[in-house]
Amino acid sequence: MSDSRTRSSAQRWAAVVGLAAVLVFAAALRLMIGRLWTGSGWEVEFAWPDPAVSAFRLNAIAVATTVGASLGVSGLLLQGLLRNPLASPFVLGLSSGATLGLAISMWATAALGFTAMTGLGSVGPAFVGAMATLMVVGLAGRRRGGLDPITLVLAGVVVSSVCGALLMLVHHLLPPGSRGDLIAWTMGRIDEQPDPRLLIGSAALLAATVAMATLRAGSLDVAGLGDDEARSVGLDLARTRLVMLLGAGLLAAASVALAGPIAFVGLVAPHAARIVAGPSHRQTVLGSALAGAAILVLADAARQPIDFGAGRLPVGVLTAILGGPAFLWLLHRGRLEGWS
Amino acid sequence: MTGVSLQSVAVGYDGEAVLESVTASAREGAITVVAGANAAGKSTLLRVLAGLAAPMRGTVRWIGGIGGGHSIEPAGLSPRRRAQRSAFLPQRIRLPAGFSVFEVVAMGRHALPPSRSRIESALERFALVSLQDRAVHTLSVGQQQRVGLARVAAQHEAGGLLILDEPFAPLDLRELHRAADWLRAVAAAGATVVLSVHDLGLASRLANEVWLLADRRLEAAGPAGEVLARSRLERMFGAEAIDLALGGVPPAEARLPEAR
Repeated sequence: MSDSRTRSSAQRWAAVVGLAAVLVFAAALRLMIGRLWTGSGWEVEFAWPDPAVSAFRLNAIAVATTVGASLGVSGLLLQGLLRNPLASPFVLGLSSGATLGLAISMWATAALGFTAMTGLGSVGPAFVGAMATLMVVGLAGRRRGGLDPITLVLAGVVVSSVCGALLMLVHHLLPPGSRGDLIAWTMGRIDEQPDPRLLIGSAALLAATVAMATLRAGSLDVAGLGDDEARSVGLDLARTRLVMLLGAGLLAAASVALAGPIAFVGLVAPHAARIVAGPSHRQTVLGSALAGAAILVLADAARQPIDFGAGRLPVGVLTAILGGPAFLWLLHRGRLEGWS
Repeated sequence: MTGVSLQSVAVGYDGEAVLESVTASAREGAITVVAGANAAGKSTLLRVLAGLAAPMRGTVRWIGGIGGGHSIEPAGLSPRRRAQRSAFLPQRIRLPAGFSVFEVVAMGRHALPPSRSRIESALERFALVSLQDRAVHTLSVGQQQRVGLARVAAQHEAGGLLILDEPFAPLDLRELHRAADWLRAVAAAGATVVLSVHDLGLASRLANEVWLLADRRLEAAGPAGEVLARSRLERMFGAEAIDLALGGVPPAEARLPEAR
């Protein structure tokens, strides 16, 4: 938004429709790109698949859409409520916290025989991990009574790396047979055969959060004023923050339970939505969901032909590689957008 | 009386008081200026007066029209009720990136019935009509301050309380004149106006009443001419500083005629 004139409401909604069109395009691409075993090796094909194959690909599209949209909305809420353009579930350590929570529950399942924390139940430990890290990062990120954007991000980096170390410890403690699962999952993956209850539960959570945040778009917009100004125009800032940050944490947890930690999407999708659809949460909640979904479905399509001889490139690896430059770009751009 | 009253109030933060035993009142229909050196506690006192923070000790009361016909403690009100009876402009405003001038001014109506005419007249009042579609982060500091003032103007309901922390600092002379005119008009229409002003000359010209803060307490409160007497100011700041600030003219004599 380096142009100084703002867009009309009709233009903003048109941009949301445009994002939906990009998602449809991405889904079609993912449906058509595939690999066939020819007997001597894999061959990339680009065509409408037969029904037996398309069922798997539709599953993957459903997972990537749910996960990408959840990350987009989670990132939007974090960026708005913490007034921090660099915030995302990954940068602030929510993803690593959720991953650690889940890994611990995996260990409990393997070592102690707990079975309640699989499938939809796995959102629980992921949520506990995500909210615990958000609390630690929030406390560590305070400076002079307020949340300082850079301190917050630094706290997120430190907490992430501590979670990473603890994750290695859990990995070390796991019985050798189940270590492979943990590794594959911590790389971030889009499952073609997801747990249906986990997928449907996550999609329902996503729909509820999008509806709630869009209904309260006016309050979320006002929260972008300074604390005292937001409160003086009548916003219950503490309650709005609490409810919306819980929503952001739940979405991050569900996305990790479904697909593991995935970088880049939660950071970039809200910016993409704001650039095309303007700053108001009336459009950006849905816009961030659509942008996040489109980005992850596209990434999942793009990785299909990439194989270095050890199977398709995990989607989390691709997004993590894109995430670094994206962060640097936003670090530069944040000043232009007038965030600070 | 109606307006706001402070009874033995102490304010501060992190458990440490910056001002002690302040007893004073600001009446309806008058402009009350809070004056004092830097770090005298002006901003903290204004936040407590606005109900955004609770006093450490003592009581703050909104009385009469502002209190909805009662005498109430503002910190106990819900944010919504508080916003319907008072508007507040902090010293350092923060405007959300990307929003248009019109959208930010409209945020003043968040807790109030929507009113396009109130927003438009606020834009007009601060000469923002031609800028109303501009993104706020592309404006100059002075223009942004006008947006903040227009947001407060759109929120302010007749007879309500208006609290502004150093509203004139980033403004040029013409903008300052515009803002001062507006404050006189809303006070004349029955508002209780409390603002902090750095510039003692300006304070003496604008205020009906002055609260002068010094040494962690209320040094004096009353009509501007009495409180800002040259002898007291010279004792507080030194004669040379007062010559520099007021150009050798006693503030009471330099006062402009009251607004009609």
